[in-house]
Amino acid sequence: MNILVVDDDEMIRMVLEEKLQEMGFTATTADSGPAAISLVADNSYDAVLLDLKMPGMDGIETLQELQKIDHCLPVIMVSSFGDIASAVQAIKMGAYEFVEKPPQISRIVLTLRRAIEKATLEREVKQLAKNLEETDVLRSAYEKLKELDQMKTSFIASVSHELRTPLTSIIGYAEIVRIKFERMVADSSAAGGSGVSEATQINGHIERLISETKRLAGLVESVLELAQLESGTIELKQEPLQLQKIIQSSAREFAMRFADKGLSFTCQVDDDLPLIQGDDYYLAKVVHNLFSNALKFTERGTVACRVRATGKMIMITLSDSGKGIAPGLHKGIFDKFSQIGDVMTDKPKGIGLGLPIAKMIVARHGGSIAVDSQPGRGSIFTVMLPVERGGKG
Amino acid sequence: MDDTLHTFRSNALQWLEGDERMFDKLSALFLKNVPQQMAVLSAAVAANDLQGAELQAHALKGAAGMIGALEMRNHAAALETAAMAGETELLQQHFKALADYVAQVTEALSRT
Repeated sequence: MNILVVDDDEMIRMVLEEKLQEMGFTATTADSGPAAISLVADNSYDAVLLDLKMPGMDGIETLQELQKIDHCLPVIMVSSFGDIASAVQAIKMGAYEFVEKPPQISRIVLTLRRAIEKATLEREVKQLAKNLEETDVLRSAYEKLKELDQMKTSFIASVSHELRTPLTSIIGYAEIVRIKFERMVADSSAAGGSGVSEATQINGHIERLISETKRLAGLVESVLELAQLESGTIELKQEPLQLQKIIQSSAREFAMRFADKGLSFTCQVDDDLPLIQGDDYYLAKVVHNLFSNALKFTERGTVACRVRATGKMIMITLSDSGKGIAPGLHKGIFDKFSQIGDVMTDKPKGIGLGLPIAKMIVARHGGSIAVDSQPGRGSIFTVMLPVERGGKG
Repeated sequence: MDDTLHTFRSNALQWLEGDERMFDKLSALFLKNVPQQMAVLSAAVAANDLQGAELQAHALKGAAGMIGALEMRNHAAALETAAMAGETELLQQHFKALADYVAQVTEALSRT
């Protein structure tokens, strides 16, 4: 333990330095208040033995300065014969104790040990109080965040519900208008009426109205789905299922669309895939979203799907020869609305919910999803799903 | 060893907790420093420099206490108090008494 002895008297400095060292302390001496202050500012001491009466800066002033540097530093005043009043004043100002000169060495040692123990406890208590305060702040911030998150999720869910209903009506009425209009045109042409080109134009408008509304309904559906997945309000099934069926069903659906776009498409699924536990509806959504992205972002070349078992995982890889993704964006594409940022520079082809939804579903199945891509060199999406797993879906 | 020295030694060994070697070192330091301290005190008293007299008397009080010279300590304390109280007429008187004791102490310690 490091003790600083402050006294203008050479005799007392000598005795205390030697005696303290004999008792196992490390002692440093200073012959004035300013010297002590600069030592305490630059070094770490466990306690200070401070003379009360010194020429220039006295013990009381020195005590005040030392407390400014380290409020917890224990200071023991060494008072002269007949100087009790000042010693008591020092105690009131925060000195730990006073001993009278010449100080009994064993009493000094005992006082030092007690003072250091008390200061150590004080520092620990302060640290604990600080930690507790920080924990409280963090806890209330966390509660607030949780609350906000919950509010956001229920807001999205209720807004999506409210949006779905009128959209369904719009689509329904638009379909009725289209059918009725087609009949009207048919009747009118049968009656030798004219205006076929105008009728075609109106029909185009109706088609556009229906397709845009369906697109909007699809977006609302995605937002609702993501909100539900995020909030955990939907429980995923945990049933044994054959992944190859899901893949092949999606592959059949998309084969035509890839062909329409002039893309070569292959899908190779191993025969002996083990069963996995999961929700077929949501896993089909993952595969659908990946295929859908490959279709959207590949203008020429190939799209290849490969499914195989590796150890206790099933690995689905979907490679395309599309425009690719810069490595800096790989992490972000799994974030919600990541395509929104491209609005001004690049026409978005969706609102960027397909991959976040896929990621969330895969995570709920205990799996992972990753991308490997370079701009201009296509993309490879890899989904890993565990064959056996603990925890709930 | 004469009685005076014996008394100092036994007083000092109480706070030094029996460390004779330390007592000898303190005596040597005392003998080295005291003439200079007395000279400074003498000049302060002669010049009626109260603050100077107070500080020097305080130093001598401490030194006397450490080597167990309690009478000398009491006279130094009286001088310090007189200086603090501004009782200039008492300074000379206390100084004279203190000087006598210092001479005795110095003599006793020198004989070791």
